[in-house]
Amino acid sequence: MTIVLEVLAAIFVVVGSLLVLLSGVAMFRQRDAFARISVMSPATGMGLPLIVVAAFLHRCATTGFGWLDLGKTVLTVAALLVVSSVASNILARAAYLSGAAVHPVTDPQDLARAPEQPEDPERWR
Amino acid sequence: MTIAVWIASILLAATVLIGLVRIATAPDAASRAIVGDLVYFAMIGQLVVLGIVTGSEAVVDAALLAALLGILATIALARIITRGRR
Amino acid sequence: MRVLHAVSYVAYITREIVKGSWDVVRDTVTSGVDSTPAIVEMPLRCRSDLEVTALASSITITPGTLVLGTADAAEGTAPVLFVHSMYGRSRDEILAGLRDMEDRLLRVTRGRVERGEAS
Repeated sequence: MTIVLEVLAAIFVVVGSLLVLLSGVAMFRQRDAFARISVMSPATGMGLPLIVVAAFLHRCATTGFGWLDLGKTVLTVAALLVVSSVASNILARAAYLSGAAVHPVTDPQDLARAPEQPEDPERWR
Repeated sequence: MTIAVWIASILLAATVLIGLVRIATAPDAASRAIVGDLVYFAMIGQLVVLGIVTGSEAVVDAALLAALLGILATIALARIITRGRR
Repeated sequence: MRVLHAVSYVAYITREIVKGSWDVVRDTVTSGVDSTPAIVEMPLRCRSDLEVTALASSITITPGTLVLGTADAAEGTAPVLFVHSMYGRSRDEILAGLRDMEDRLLRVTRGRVERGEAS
């Protein structure tokens, strides 16, 4: 039983940190600010919860199961999901209000802004 | 487990490094803000991984607090990006 | 019954997060960018602040979709969400996925849902 928990924890912690790293790589690959905010969610929605659950499984394997630990883990995962998504919403709204450019391939675009967006290839790095 | 923890720690450290590079090269302020967020969350992950290594109990509480308070920095950045408009 | 709906909603969100993460990971590790970004306007059947906030958070935490802003309900109109989607191929496909999520959420908050009501 202990060895199963340990192996699960090891898999979870590696997969979780790999997801965080891939989110970091995706920050280079995506073309506008909104796509970058969008690719945050694999890191905060799955990567970090996996790491936190792995820590819980590891504690179960070494010191035994505890309800308090379980409660803290559930609370941390819920906080990560809710807080990071609300933060992303606020940041996306702020990005749009501040006039961050929307990549021209975005279609349909129901939020079309009145002023013309300058077509400068240097913007899409 | 020790090997897995080392791998995870290295991956998260790599995330922080490429995140800092991306902050330096990002084209607009909103991208910088979101990459800064990612670096923050990668550091929370690093903290939890550290907790696995040391077997420390306080680290779980620290991760919980960090997850709850992470929104403050983002809100501040959002206000700065919009120059105070809500 | 609502507890059962809530449990199934959590399971549904978990499945969507895993599916969306897989999309983002596949796009990131393969060469080139194969996202087809779109911003769609979505009239809601949710009315209370709790429902709108829960739906907006659920949409944003699902990788690939992001809420850009909300418009409050004016006289006689529904509240509206503006959703940025990365991998939806058409407006109808994106809206169908979001409607499914809204149905499941309303089943948690109201116990039952009349399809197509007031949207």
